[in-house]
Amino acid sequence: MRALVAALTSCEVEMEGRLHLVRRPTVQQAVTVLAFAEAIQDGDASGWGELRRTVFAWLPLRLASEIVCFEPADLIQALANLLSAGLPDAKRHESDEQVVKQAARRSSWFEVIGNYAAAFGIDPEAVLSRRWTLFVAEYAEIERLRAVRQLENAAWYAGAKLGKMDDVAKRAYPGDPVYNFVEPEIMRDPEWKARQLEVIRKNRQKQASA
Amino acid sequence: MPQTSITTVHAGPAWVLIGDPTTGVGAGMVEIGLVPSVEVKLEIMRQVARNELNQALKDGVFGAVIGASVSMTVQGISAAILAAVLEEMADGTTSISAETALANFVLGTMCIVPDDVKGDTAHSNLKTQWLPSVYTTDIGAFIHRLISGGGDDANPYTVQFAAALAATDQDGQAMNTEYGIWFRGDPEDGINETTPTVWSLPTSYE
Repeated sequence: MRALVAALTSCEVEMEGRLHLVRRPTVQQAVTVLAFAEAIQDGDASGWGELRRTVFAWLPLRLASEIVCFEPADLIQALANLLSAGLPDAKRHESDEQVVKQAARRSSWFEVIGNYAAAFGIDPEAVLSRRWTLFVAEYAEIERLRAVRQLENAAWYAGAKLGKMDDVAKRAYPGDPVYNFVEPEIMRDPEWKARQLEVIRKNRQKQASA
Repeated sequence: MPQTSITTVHAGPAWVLIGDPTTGVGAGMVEIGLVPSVEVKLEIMRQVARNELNQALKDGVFGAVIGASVSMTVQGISAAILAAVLEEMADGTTSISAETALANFVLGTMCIVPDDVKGDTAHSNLKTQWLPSVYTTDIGAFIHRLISGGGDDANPYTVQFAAALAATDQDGQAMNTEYGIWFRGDPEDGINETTPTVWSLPTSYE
């Protein structure tokens, strides 16, 4: 609920004696800022034009024109602070943002947005215009649920490997991913496979001689 | 979306066998094993006589079952065994190749035994499906790809089969026409002989 409220509200930012009303960034704006921050660390400043456009689209004009004149390092710091300024649940947002950043580092921002779009059944284009704070909270939840599911699968797989097939069978439902991993006891016997190949060979011989 | 067709979904996976059920004690049936999914769809043909207003006429509707299509998803050991069964695939000791010459296939009989029926006189159980002669219409693809985020990490392999009309079974016994493409239950009902050679499955199914 907090994330939703935070996403809908703007925050007041004080800069050099002036108060500015800053809206929450959209996913597109936030990703541009974060991607630029990473790229500039590798010395790649090619996204500068895009960053400028984003800053002017997101922040109030006066604030944007002041910030844009900062040194790149200070600029990045200022923008990063503004991404999560004045949030009621700052600590939680901070750790959720870490989850999202890690996911993006593992694969890419395309994948993060794609996963979110798939989870909610919406167009990836539509994801880009959602509010960043809400996106982060929801994405962290998606990752948490996926981790839980994978642990469950791992537990079932381990159970199956240890021969606790009854347990697995009781919990599995038709189409359950566990069926993707677990073959019945008999099929894991190399003798069984050898027997089937032998039957195939005999059938072929019978056909050839008929 | 309005539902335009009826699908019967049976809970749980099934065991699939292909081969010659006329060899005693199921010795000729190759077990593909328990497969994640197998779908049998009966194909029908309709001829409809219509009047000038394109209305179908009650005495003018004709039809027949013209075939059946089977779509099977396999994994692991099953894929290896199925590859050996496929007509075109030749499994040498150190290589696997595909036959490129035009050949007349000798079709095997497919049997689909639901998991809960195995061990319960499966060969004549009403839930068991038999297709007296099947051939592959698609032998799947070999795919190398990255698996990322969710989805099936076990890389299943899908093969399509179609059923041909069998006038006789693999022992040369005449079959009733209604049993020629697909049937469920006891094969004896479909064999048109005074002293039929029974169809059998391996003992673990009975």
